[in-house]
Parts: sequence; structure tokens; C-alpha cells
Amino acid sequence: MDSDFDSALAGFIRRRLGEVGGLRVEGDARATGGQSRENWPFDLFWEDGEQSHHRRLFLRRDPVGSVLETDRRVEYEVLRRLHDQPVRAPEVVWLDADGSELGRPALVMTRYDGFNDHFILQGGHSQFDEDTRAGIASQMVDLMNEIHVLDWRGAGLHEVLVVPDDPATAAIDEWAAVIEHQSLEPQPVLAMIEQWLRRNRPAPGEITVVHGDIKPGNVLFDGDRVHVLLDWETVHLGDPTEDVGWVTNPLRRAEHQIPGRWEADDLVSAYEARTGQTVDRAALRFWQVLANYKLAAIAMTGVRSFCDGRTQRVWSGAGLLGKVLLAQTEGGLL
Amino acid sequence: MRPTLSEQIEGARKVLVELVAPQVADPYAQEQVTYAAAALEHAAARWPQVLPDLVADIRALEEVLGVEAAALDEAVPGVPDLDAAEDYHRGLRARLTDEIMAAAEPSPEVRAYLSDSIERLK
Repeated sequence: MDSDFDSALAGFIRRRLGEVGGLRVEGDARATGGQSRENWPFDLFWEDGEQSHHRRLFLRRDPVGSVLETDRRVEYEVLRRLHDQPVRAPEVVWLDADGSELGRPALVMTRYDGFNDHFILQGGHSQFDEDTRAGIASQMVDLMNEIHVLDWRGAGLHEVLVVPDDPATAAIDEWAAVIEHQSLEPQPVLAMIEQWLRRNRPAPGEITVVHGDIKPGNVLFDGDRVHVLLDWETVHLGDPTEDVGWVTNPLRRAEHQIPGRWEADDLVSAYEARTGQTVDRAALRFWQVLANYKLAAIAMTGVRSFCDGRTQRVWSGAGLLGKVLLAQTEGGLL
Repeated sequence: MRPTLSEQIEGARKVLVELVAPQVADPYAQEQVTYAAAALEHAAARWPQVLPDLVADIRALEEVLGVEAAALDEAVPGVPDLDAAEDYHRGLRARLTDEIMAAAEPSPEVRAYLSDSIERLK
């Protein structure tokens, strides 16, 4: 970390730990992988009287130009409430909600053992055999179900998240607003998709917690075990089929499927077996289209950050997403 | 004129990939160099076709919107200037976007245009 950031972080920690001795922060590399947040793993050491302490922590800070503009306070409050719930969410430790201490809004979380492997189901870095990968895929469904059966009222999530009357309309409105706000030019393809979504939106049903970005790339694995689901910045209350649509998005087969062994139908069947409920296929199609509409909104945000000079990542356009969305709304690619 | 713009862009990409990337130890910086090299590769390959494809897309938009083809020549006299052609194109795309939002369902012609334009403008 650079020296300005080092001293800001030391001050941030001191204000939370109080007057302790031997305070030391170790960690010097920004971790890659997050496009919407800067990630800094670090180790914290301090002494309190006779006792020595060591905590392994992870700082996630908003970048200057992000692909997702979400509120760190909401994420912090959700994770705080999930800590004693039966869900594999990380423990949050501290928050800088407005960035007044660390330069930009940031969360500090407990750092867990494990590794990250975006394409673990296709082999990825881990190169597990097919049976092991199928087992991991099945655990991903367990994880999704674990989130959907959470007692969100009991956990107090309604205190920090909006309870939508009509989740589909709320989702269209949310991402249409992002596209409207972030686009640097007219988007006729996305206008057509928005109209398709409005014509084909499913009726409101059961409201559950929706993670919004379930994928192996957001999981820490411990061997072949799904250990912790990281990155809860898009969590909200809504229709559980939204998560099912996200993980069966045809554009992201490489992350969620094993060709010939664990494909979209297998995933949906496994989810239905866990929940005992049939997934409405028309609703699933809506949420699969919404998944790519949301990705297009995220891409628009990235393009704007790049064109405004707020990010170092060089972005290209969202042509492939437009192509997939057109095919999806013509009935293909399901 | 040699080197062409494409050759210069390709040369810059090679410097990044062959000279700079092996020296970069920081994983975050490595990731950004990879994105930058991919963008240069795309730019080198696409650049010669940008103006002809833009003009082709303008002609297709004029047709789908029922705009007189002469309008481009009025807006951009002579050989199209890229910035002016892009401004004119943006205006047509905004008009199409408004028509899509106002219609119950897009016509087959609009759908066909959108599908073709994604290929032309990638």
C-alpha cells in the first residue's frame, strides 16, 4: 500500500481499537479480480496489555471509477445482520461509509482461508475431476437455496433493504435508470429490451433475499468445498427466480455449467428438488434476459468510467451483450 | 502512408505485450496491461473499417426511419468527416430509440437493423 493510504488505514484502525500498543499493518498488494471494488488483504497485529492479537482482514474500497455504484453502508448493515444467520456470508468488521477516513467508502471484513477460482466448474486453476466439479456445482445450488430460505424479517433485513411490491418492475426500473444515467449515447437495442421486459414481466410472488451475483468467482473454496460467498453488494429483496436466471444466463455458461454433465436444465432441476417448488419457465426466461440487461447496465457504467478517465481498465463496448439479448428475446439461447 | 495507423497501433501493442508485460510483477497492473493490449489489437483490426461501416449504418438507419438519404450529405458535405458522421449517426440512433420506446412492439425492420448494426459497429 502507498504511504498515504498506510497512514490513513492506521488512523482508521486506531480510532476503532483505541489506544493499543504495537499496532502493525502488513499487506502490500492490491488483489485482482474485483472490477467494482479495490480489494486489499492485510494482517493486523496489536497488543492489549499482556495479550498479543492478530487478525487476518480484507479491505474493500470503492474505486474512483466503478462498474457498480452501490452503497457500502447497506452492504455493511446486511452483512452485520447475516452474521448469526445460517448462511455462508463473511463477517464484517468495520465501515467507512462516506470515505472520510480512507479516501473512498470502504468495508473491512474478516479474511478467510481458501482460494478463488472463477472457472472451477470448467477446470479452472484447480483442475478437479468431473465428479468433483459436479459436486461443487451441486453445492452452489445449496448455497443459493440457503440464501432464499433465509428468514429476512427475522434477521431484520427489511430495516435496510426495500421490500418491493413488484420485484420484476422494480428490477427493470432500477437497471433502466442506471442505463439512462450512465449511457454516453443512444441505446436502441437496450430500449427494445426494456420494452420486451416490461411486456413479459412475471407477476409478483414470494419475496426472498436475492444475492444478485452468485457465481464461483465470488466464492472462496476450501479444497472442493464451497466455504464463503463474498461480495454482497447487489443483495436485495426480490423474486428468488432472479438468482436462478442469473446462474443459468446462457452468456455465462463457462462459469456455471459443465458441458454434458451439469447444464442449465440440471441446475434448475436441482434447485427445484431443494425447494420443492417448480420454477416458472416464462419467469425464468424473463430473469435470464434481465441478467444480461443488468450486465449491459454494468458495462455502460464501465464504459463511462473509462471515457471519463476514472478507471485504468480499458473498456470496449457491449456489442456481444446486445447480440445475446436480441437472440434471447427472439426465443433463442435459453 | 507507412506505417499506417493500424501498423502503429499494432507496434504499440507489441511493445506492451513483449516488452512491458514481462517486467510487470503487480497482478493488478498485469491485468490492466492485458486489457490495454486487447483494446489495441481490436483498434488495429477495426480502424480501417470504422468510417465505411459507420456510413453503411447511417444508410441503414435512414432507411428504417424513412429519412431522405441526402440528409447525410447535407449534414456532412463531401467526404464524411468521422466526428460529424458520428454526430449525425447519434442523432438518428436517438430518434430510433424514441420510436422504439413509443411503439408497442418493434417492427421486423427495426429488429433486423438492430441485429445488423451490432455486427457493423462492434
